[in-house]
Parts: sequence; structure tokens; C-alpha cells
Amino acid sequence: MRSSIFGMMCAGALGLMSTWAFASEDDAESCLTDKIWAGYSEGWAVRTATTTTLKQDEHRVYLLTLYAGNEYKIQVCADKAGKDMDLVLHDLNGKELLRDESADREPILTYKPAETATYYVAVRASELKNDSESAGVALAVTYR
Amino acid sequence: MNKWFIASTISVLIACSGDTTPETKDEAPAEVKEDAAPKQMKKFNIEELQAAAKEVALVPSPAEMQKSLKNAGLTSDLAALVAADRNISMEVENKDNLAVRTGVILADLVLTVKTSTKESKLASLEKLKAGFKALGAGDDIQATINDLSTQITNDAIQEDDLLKEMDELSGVMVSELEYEAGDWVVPLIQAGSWLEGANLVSAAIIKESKFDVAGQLLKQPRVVEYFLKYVEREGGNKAPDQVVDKLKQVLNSLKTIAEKPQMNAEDVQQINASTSEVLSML
Repeated sequence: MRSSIFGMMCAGALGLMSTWAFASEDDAESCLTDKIWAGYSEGWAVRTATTTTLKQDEHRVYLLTLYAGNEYKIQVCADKAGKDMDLVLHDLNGKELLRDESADREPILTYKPAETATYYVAVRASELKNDSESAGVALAVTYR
Repeated sequence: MNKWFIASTISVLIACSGDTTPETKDEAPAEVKEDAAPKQMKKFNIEELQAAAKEVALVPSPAEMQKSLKNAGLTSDLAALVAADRNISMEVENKDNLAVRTGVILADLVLTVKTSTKESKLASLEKLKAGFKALGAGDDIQATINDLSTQITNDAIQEDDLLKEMDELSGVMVSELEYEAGDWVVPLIQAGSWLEGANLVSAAIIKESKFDVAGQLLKQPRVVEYFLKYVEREGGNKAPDQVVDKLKQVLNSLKTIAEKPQMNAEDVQQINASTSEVLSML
């Protein structure tokens, strides 16, 4: 029993500290930069990339102008504090068009719009690791 | 943080270090849930989307405009349409005007990175440095531009790598920087780049008489509204400026055109003429 309480104390203390260490936008950005650069070999180029920090169930929404005829890849990297990030694309009326079905911290959507228009993409911290208060999150829009 | 907390933290770390391995960046890839339970998915409503929407990714890049041109079936190369004799001065007092100039130079550099001479690229990079410095963009971007200039001077960078670096500079770094001059700087740099792109795209459409794809390539009312919001903002130490006044006028006319259900040849010609008018003032 003693060892188990001690174990929990250790886990709790390390968890508290890991929260600070994990919530790193730099780590998320580094992960995303690798993906962006790797994409060039397949013809992808980057429009923009941005970083933020999300707590459990928090979200960010970005407006996008997407051209008909181009193919787009919207990709996210969360740092190690993130467990499941959701990525959802909507049209300007709020109608959901596409959603990643994965349960990981690096979701990707690819989309080829039928018309040039403005869209909303939402990224949400659906699940963080148990001991994490927040996660660093990076999002990029690439096209080809 | 007090001494007790530091001592306790160290004690806990030492006590726990025996059987705990901290995670490192090189360890396992992103975790995937293994349970088969259906995922709880939040649905967003339009009010949530509108309230939270950020515009950092709203504006297409000039290189993206070139790609969309090609995907729409046009054969023109925007780089070939860039005015070769344009010599934009960065000696202006009005910061809005300067941000727009910086955006135009950035667009031209990105579009012509594969076709322009070494001297031309270096001259453009020097102008960008001057623009970013005056806008208070900090030292990082100065260092990045210096590094690019050195590599170009020494022929130490491949063309494809330079293209990636320019994409990153224009699409990522510029929009993520904090500018002492204010949060309006990024939108106005983007406005300069977009204005140049719209001018070149409209020129390509006219040249190839492909007016049927004008809406696909130029109809972006939200983008124009975004620029107007910053160009027409109140307050600050905005000195009167002819370029900024013309820009407001042109953006308002572009908004009217972009909100039409269909664009025709006359609309494209008006876009080209009005954007040319602003660009010729720089």
C-alpha cells in the first residue's frame, strides 16, 4: 500500500510537471514543419501555418479561402500532451463538410472544393493526456 | 517559486527517477485509441464558428494563385507578367503604405524566385529587410533574410529549396510575427501581396480571354472585407496618404464586384485597371 501511494504521489508530481513541459507550441510546430517539408516531394506547398495552445475541449476556428480546382490538405500536430485532436471543415453557412475520423493527435483532412469560397475549419482538443492541462497545437494549410 | 517547492520538486524527481522514463520527442508516434467505442464528436453551430473565427489563414498566397490559375486551365506564368521595371521605394512615412509595399515586393519575389536574377532577388530581400525593420518585426526575420541573402550570394541554395524557404517566409513567418507597429501590419502586408496577385491573375485572364473562370479565380469577398476592416480602421497615428486612400477606394470597388453572382469580362478589366492604379503609385 505504501509503495502504491508513493507511486501515485510520484505520478502526480511528475504529471504536474509534465503538464508544463508538454504544452509546447514549439514541439507541435516542429512536427508540422517536418510534415510540410515532406509534402513538397508530392507537390504540396504551404499557404500558412499557425500555432496555438488548447485546453481540454477548447477549440479554435480559422477562416479559409479555398480555390475550386486546387486540392487542399489541412493538417494538425499536437504536442505530447494531446491525445485526440478533432479537425472539422464547414462551409460558410456552418454546414459540416468533412471531419477526421481518427482518434490521434495528428489529424489530416484533404479536400478538393467544387467552388471557390470561404470555409471554416475547427480544431478541437477532444482529449488530452490525463495529467495535462493544455496542449500545443499547430495547424497548416497546404495545397497542390 | 519558493525554496520549499524547489527542494520538494528535486526530491520527488530523485525519488521517482528509478522507475520512470520521461517521454522524449523521438519516442513512439502519435497515440491511437485502441478501444472500439464510438468517438464522441462535437458538432459546431454557425454562431460558434463565426464567434471564434480567426483570419490568419484566410488569404491565399501568390504562389497559390499561380497554382489555381494552372488548375483552371490557363497557361500564363504570373512571373512573366510581373512588371520588370517596377522599383518600389521603401522610403515612406506612412506605415500602412509601407506594409502594402512590403507585401507587393514579397509577392513578386515569391512568384519570380525561379526566373529572376541573383541581383534582383538580393535587391528585393534588402527591401523586405527595410520594410520589416520599419514595421518593427523584430530580429528573427532580419536574421532569416540575411541567411537567405548569404546563401543566394554564395550559390549555396538549390532553386527548389529557395522556393520552400520563400514559401515559409511569406506564408508562415510573416503572419506569425509580432509587429511593434500594430496588429494591422499582417493584414496590410497580405493586402499588398493579394493585390499584386489579383492584378496578375486578372491580366492573365484578359490575355487568354478566359472570362468564364474569373469567378473561380477572383471572387473572394471575405478576403476583401478583411483588408477593408484594417485599412479603414479608426485611430492610431495614421498620417494622410494617397496610396492608402486609393487602396480604400479600390478595395470597396473590388468588394462590389466580388459580391456579384457572376463575374464578366468588364468586371475582370475593372479589377485589373483598379489594382494597376494602386500598384503604379508605389
